[in-house]
Amino acid sequence: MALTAGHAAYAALHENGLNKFIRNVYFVRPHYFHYATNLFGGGTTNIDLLSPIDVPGLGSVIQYSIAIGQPVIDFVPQDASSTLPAPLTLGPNQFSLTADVQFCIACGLIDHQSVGSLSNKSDREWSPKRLCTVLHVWAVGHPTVEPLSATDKLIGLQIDQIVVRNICDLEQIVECVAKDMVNALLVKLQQKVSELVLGAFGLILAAGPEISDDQLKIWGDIL
Amino acid sequence: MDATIAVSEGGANQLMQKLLAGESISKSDSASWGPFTVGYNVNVALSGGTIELIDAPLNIIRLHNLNISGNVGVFFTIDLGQILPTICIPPFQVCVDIPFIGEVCTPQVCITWPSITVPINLPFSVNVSADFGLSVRDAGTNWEVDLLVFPFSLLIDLSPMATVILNAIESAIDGALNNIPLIGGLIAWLVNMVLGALNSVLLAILSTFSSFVHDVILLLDLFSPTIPVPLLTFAKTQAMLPAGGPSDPEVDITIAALGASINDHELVATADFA
Repeated sequence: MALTAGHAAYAALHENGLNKFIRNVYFVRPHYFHYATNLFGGGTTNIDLLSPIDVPGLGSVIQYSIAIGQPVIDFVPQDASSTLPAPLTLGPNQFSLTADVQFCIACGLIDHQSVGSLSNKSDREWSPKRLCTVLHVWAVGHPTVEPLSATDKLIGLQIDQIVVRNICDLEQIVECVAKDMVNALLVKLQQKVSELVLGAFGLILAAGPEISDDQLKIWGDIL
Repeated sequence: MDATIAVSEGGANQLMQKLLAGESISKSDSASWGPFTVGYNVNVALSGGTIELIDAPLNIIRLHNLNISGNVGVFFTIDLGQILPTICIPPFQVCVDIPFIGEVCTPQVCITWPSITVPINLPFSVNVSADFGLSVRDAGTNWEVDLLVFPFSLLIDLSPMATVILNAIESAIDGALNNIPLIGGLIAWLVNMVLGALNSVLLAILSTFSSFVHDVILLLDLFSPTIPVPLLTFAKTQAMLPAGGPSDPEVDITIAALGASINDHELVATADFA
């Protein structure tokens, strides 16, 4: 069956290609995946800065970090090696995303805001109080398209459902935060239609994006 | 493969038209045939045509009814003195020796034939069909999906232009001779004499033009059997996210390998990323 399906041109990005792209983003722009307060190195080139959380009643703050591991995307049909926890299922025109997210806090560290940055404290002083946990995140979502200019559009991914396990009653809260975080990350990875054809020619999107056969597909007319 | 790009026959035709728009050439030369010195300049451009994509394993791009058109700008320089006889008026001169005066002759004027230049424009247009093989080439910083023409038949025949040349030269010579006084009754005969001389070499001249145009057309990259012409070009380093500041360097993807074939009448390129 013809790939172009009645259009002048067709472009498809395989999940393997997308994962290679995400790998490159992970190494070239690590701050897309790493967030921390100043104690944990936030505000540097590689780690975006987060504000410490106020501890009620103490006048102190909690220093913490969030590190998203390199996500793995799986376009429908589901890979044999991929398992999604209930209630997630991979339906038509969907993708799944899995990632490990590490949360760390500087527990018991009295960090009075008036004192300022604790970045000059030695590891010995605070690392025994550093508590970390790794959460495994599963999500499913769909492709998106947004207008960019008269002749170009942005193609992206957005998750609709997310599951974070083994956090008991905190699950809904954590899932809500994680969903927003992952979607914010996915917005940064949006690709122009012109980039999906690898610059071979200009393409005006006529159909898609659609996910099938492990690929993100678009169709259009050549400029 | 990590990415696939497919182009339909209609899409391939669009890409081919863009390629053809850049395919033009101009060349000049000159030669002499007796009293006729001829300078000629050929301009060639390509347009039109339709693409047919022939599936693997042949992987042929067939271009039907490609129009090759242009014109041959010709400058005939004719030395009439090499063609026309010497004409003096009156034809004979009588001289007598007169004592104490010397030789005295009756008046006579001999005509100096001019050299004339006649510009002529010879348009031509021919439709051809040609087959092109498909290949992928590592072109340094780019991957290319190239076309390479198979030998094809190209006949250029400008002999139907003989009448145009004869008429133009007849008119030009007639005009030039009409400016010469006292030969009014001879002009038709003189013009025929020039045309007779031209007729004896005109086919050779037109054959030279035809060969020259043929050779110039084959100088176009598209028709060179040794010069691959890129139909699709992919930068090996694809900037997937442009640089956005010190914390946001450009994010690239490197195309490590490219493949191309024709399937279901579509040109399909597949890329593997590093």
